[in-house]
Amino acid sequence: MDKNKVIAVITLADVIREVAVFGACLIIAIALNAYAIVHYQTEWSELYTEFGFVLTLALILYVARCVVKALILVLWKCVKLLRRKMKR
Amino acid sequence: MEENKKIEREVSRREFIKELGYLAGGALLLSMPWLKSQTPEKLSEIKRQGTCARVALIGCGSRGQYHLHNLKAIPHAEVVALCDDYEPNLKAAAEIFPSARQYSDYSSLLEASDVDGVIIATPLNLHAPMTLDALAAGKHVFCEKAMARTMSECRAVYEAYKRSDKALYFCMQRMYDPKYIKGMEQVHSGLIGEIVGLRCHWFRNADWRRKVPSPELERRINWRLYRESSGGLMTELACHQLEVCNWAMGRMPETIMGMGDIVFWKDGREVYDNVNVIYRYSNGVKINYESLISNKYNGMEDQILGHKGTVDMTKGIYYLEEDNQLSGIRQLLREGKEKTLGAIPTAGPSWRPETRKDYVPHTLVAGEVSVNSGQSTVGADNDGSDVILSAFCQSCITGEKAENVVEEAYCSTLLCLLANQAMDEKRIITFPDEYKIPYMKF
Ligand SMILES: NC(=O)c1ccc[n+]([C@@H]2O[C@H](COP(=O)([O-])OP(=O)(O)OC[C@H]3O[C@@H](n4cnc5c(N)ncnc54)[C@H](O)[C@@H]3O)[C@@H](O)[C@H]2O)c1
Repeated sequence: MDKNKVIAVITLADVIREVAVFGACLIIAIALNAYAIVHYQTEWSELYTEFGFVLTLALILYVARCVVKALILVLWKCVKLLRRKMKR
Repeated sequence: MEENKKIEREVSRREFIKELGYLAGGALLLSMPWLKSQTPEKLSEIKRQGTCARVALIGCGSRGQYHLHNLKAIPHAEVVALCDDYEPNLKAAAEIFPSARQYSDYSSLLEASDVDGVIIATPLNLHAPMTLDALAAGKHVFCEKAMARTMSECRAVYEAYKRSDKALYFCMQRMYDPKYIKGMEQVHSGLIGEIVGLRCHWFRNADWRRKVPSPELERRINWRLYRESSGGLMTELACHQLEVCNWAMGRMPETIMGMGDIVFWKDGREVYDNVNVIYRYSNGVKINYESLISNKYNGMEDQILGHKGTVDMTKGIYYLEEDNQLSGIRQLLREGKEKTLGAIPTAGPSWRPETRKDYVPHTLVAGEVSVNSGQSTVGADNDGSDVILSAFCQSCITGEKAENVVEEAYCSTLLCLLANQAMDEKRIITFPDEYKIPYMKF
């Protein structure tokens, strides 16, 4: 096996964590919807009529969180690489 | 062929009645009592007896001939006489009803004992004298709008009507138009919430002028352009629309202001070709009335604005505010976006220009609705003119007066004449006490 090859293994724990994160995004989106209904005095039926929109919002939040996480990871890798080079 | 057309029109009138569901004693008849004199039951009774109203037409010009065509389709009407002091128009009318007797002087016509009722379609300044003479001669009268050229004439006609046992109609056809009846029913049932404004306009791009065979006939043929015989845009057009506003509000405006000018058709006419008038009701609601005849882009519209929606009576359509309201979450996101990305983040939503959104139109009447573009100076098809004429013929037979028609015509004509006065005198006018009648609520 090639020594440099990195194998990414998605564990069950990873899946559970990601589902939990998405669940949190969904709860935030639903809470935002409820807040908006109260704030703008619109109909409570929007809790389900706007569910598609809320789901999309939750997805956007989740994707945004993934992007931020990836950026942090890349940044961290760069810093590590830089440090290693400096040591040499 | 003609008979088929007659049957077809009669069927559509019956459809109109069925559509509105106004059976004797129905709720509609309570709120629109003028419809009581022509219920389907009364019409079938007339049919059963086989009686016909013997009517005569005074004024065989364009509107007169339009009525003659409508009369052809009314089975309980028989046109027995025609009168006009302008030979070409009398001849044209005689071609429509060749068997009718012809008169050039309306006084001799009024002496005829075989005439139950007269239809008056002459210039405005002749409405009052002819109506008064006809009522005095014991005839039922159907007169074109507006009621009269002056306020004192209006008062005289109203008083004469109150004393008379004869039926009197003014051609306020919107009161008999299914779109308006349904629309008003919905407005009064709270569909659009509280009425907060009324917007009516009538735009045309035509000079109102008619060709004159010789110069001495100018004031006779182009009577609409001269103040002695016409109240201009107000009496010719606004009269119908103001009636709709009062019908919606159930009261009369208290104050009137406006400006009128001859802006475009500077051809020797005396009446304004461009008017803007504001009527204010006691609760602060206003009618914004605008009419000009040198641009037709906006056409004709009678809009009733409520806090929950808008009814456009002319098209038989209503729009609901909620149809165009964003859900809470979308409003929240939009506000967030505007706060972070907007050009001036400190300004609230009222700062941004709010152009008209596309609302979802809902129809007031099921099926095909006849819409009048407002461009014809003669009249539109199925705009209620045939129904009110039929109601008049029924009244000629039964002797039953149509409730509120005269009163509504009185109210709207006075508002037209007061607007002209306000524009001429360039001042705000309060409705004068001497012209108030018990029917009016302010
Ligand atoms: N309700 C509506 O929607 C509507 C539409 C159009 C016109 N109108 C009204 O109808 C009336 C007539 O309008 P029009 O366009 O037909 O005008 P018009 O000029 O075409 O016709 C008027 C007729 O009256 C005749 N006349 C004048 N003086 C007379 C007299 N002393 N005796 C007998 N006949 C006489 C004229 O010769 C002419 O034939 C007006 O009051 C107008 O406002 C109402």
